[in-house]
Amino acid sequence: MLTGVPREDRTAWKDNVALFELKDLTVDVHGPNGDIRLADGISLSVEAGETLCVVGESGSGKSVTMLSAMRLLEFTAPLTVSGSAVLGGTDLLSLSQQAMTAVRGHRVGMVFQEAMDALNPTQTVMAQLCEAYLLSNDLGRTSGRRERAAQRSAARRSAMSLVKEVGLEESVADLYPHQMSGGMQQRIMIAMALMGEPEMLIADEPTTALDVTVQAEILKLLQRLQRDRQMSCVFVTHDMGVAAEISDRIAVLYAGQVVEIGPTSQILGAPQHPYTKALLECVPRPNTRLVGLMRTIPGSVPEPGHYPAGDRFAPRNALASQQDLDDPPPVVTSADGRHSVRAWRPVEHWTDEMVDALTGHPGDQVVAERSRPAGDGEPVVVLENVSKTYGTRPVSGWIRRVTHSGREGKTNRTRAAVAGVNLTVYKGEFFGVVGETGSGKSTLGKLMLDLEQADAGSKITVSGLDLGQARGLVEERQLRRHVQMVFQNPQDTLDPRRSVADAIAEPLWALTDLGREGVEARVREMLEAVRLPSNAGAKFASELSGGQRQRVAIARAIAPGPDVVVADEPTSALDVSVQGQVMNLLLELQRELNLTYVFITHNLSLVTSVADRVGVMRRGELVEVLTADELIAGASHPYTRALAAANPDPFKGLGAVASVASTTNHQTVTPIEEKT
Amino acid sequence: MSTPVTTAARRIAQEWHRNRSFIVWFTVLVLLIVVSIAGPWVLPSPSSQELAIRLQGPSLDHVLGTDDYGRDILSRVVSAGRISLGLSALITMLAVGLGSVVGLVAGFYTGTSSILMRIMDSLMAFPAIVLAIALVVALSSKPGALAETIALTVVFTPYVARVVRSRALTISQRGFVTAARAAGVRGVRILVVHVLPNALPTIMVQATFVCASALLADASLSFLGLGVAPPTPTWGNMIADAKPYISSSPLFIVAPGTAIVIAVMAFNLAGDGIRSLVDPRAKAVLNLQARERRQAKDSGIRGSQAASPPHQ
Repeated sequence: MLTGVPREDRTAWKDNVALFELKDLTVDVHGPNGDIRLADGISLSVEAGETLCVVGESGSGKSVTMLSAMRLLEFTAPLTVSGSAVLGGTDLLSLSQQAMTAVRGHRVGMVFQEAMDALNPTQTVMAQLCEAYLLSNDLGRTSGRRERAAQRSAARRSAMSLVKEVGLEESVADLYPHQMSGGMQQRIMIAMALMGEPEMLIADEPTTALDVTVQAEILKLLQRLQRDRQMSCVFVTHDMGVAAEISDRIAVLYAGQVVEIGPTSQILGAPQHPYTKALLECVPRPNTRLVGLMRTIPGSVPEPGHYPAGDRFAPRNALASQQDLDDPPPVVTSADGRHSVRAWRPVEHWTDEMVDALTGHPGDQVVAERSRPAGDGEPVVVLENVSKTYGTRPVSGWIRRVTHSGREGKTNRTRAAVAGVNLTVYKGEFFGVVGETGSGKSTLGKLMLDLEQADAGSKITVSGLDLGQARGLVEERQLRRHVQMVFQNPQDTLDPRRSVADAIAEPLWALTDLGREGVEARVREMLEAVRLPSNAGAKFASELSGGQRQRVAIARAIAPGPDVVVADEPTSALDVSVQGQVMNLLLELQRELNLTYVFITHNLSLVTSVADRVGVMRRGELVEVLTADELIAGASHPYTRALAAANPDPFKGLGAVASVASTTNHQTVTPIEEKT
Repeated sequence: MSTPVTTAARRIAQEWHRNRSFIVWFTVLVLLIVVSIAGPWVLPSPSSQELAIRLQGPSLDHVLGTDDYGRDILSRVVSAGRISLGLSALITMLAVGLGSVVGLVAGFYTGTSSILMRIMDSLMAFPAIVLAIALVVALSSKPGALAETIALTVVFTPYVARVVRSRALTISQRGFVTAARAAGVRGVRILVVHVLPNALPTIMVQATFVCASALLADASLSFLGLGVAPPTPTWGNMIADAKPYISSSPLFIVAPGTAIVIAVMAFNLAGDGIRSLVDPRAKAVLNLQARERRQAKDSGIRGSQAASPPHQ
């Protein structure tokens, strides 16, 4: 045992004494071209039995802070950490790595985003849990056979009780990680983190890779465990909705600094930093139709090493003064010390005008043009009884006899990614497809582009072209002129060795008869259409930010002038503050070019706010199709209702909170709802 | 502001700090090529015989001495370099070209892989040098440069094809290939425009490996009398000629032997360097090593003071 205070006396810290405290934690990573500061003077504390959410967008330094405080980051990168990170009286930064191993085993449990990567694929879950038990109890070094057997059975007992505690059946313990779903894997990771009976649990985006329904279960589990065990919990996330669900207090990070920290009700209900306010406004609200354009923060999150001089959010803040731009602001703390803001003038009173200026909301002038009646247009995409089955192709003849003898059952195992879908999408419609992982929503999109071929008996018609017929290159080109696709991850879908102009010109060369000059002119036109500077054409994808890359992908899709654009999760790889920019661009382009969208997403709030109609998919089947208004009024299918219920909402129960927080202006809490 | 020359100089200086061995061996490689090309114009003819001064040690006239026909060893080693380096460069180009095409096609059109790669596998099933000997003998009654080139191209093509195929397979799964398909780009164009450029770093690294191997294989074949025939010198046939005199006149065998060692090392280590330039993971390792070197130097200057920084 390393600490001055024995474990039995944990309760000694209970009353408002910080169990874990970071003071001026600064992390510099040494790069080939000098040091890069990833975290800059982070100060925050976690009280015993409390849950603190560390919220921030990509590159805000939220994971870096926690990992370097736990001394894990130094294994992956050369860095210097200064300041202090105190856990129950011990400064973690002064410990040796050996002592840290004991701290991480006994006193702090850690859960990471990718459970699949963190588990060893070659061992059963039980074997790994037992190993964790032996390690966290400093056992496994004895030589006596009887002692070892006793230890092993103790480990098994302890592992079993944890497996049950995290809500899994005992039989699960004998499975290998790949035989389990993502949610089960994450539960096992949590069990493993609890093995050493830690005082504090650090969870780094533990639910980001999971579906919303599974996420809701994991969040509930974490809350229950934290209450039962009186643990402190640090929860790192980018999702304000998750933070609202689970936290007692929230710390908001931006560009390596804590910009605001305080009780959850205060942060969500009455934020005083413009960034916190703007970030909250950018989250699409559940069960709310979008009026006008989506709220968004102009610009993009600055990259580490290129932070602005004054207030780091000032360049993106329309309300910033010259002082904000020039001088780093001080930290202002409220009288009771519970709420701190890093700003020259914390905003206690948000008016509609301020919020509109901050989030680039253009007001009401576009409202009338936005919504488009569905159903009375002509059908553009028609799916009749469409199925797509994946599986091993039936192997015939002697090859089968040689290679598959005795394994008949396995070779013909098939899985229907899409099963018997009937769907009509009308011209000019914004059609949303919602579903969880494995629901077949992406496959459905690929079927519309003939990137996947449907099973026999399916009939797909796009812009009057029948995809089922035998097709040559000419028909293929004809189809692509009518339907194009925007993919999820622009980082991956733009060739790193081709310039932006090359990428946009690609479908033009392939599909149109334009000459060199015609193509170049069209590329310039497209760059302008997606609001990219004209010099962006010569750049490479790596030189652009995530939002800009997705603009390029959109420009490529609309360049040949299609009628239908299938967008497969186009914003899920982007930060919330940038998501609105891309969505607004899609909405504006739809109006200008009279496009039909098939918008595939897992984000129910987003799709309800922008789509005309929504199709809900589950295990390959289209469960129901309903208009956004029907969805808001209450879906009929239980699965849709379950999805809606699991959707994390930063504004859940905020009405009650708003009346508590005196500084809150009721009018500004839900400006979008008021306008509907 | 910054001319291309100064930026290039800065790049090299930066590279020197990070990856010394690459700069050193790349320079050696360039020197070897320059000497082989320019040497024969400066040095005495490699085939002028003076039997009176056969098997002599180093002198001012003959820096590396003379061989069993009294020919200048230095000028023979240099002009052998012309043949050996030239032949291995030619073989590399052919094998890498052919292997890349096979690998790209097999990796991109996965249906062809079962035929193309089985052919490659069957070629790889033979030990390289045995297959080369068999091919040279089968191809012509009188061994020579042409037969050797064909034989070694056949031998080395599968090694390139295999690596390129696996790379092409990975690239074909990437999003931008799907995106290009969705944009209506035809298969062959995707292969040339997207898959090939992204596989190029792998191909380049593989080329240096093939070049070193071809050099060795050429030396082996001409040592066995199956390569370029004397009196045209190659490093391999020089070693064969020098074998009887290994104890009486060691420089005769050491000179071409050293040339082979240096050339093969230069190709391999410069190849490693190229890999570190194009592979981000190898680059990260190099950065780390360079940093440790710098720290070791710093702490050496400052003595024991900075021996173990507390948060390191």
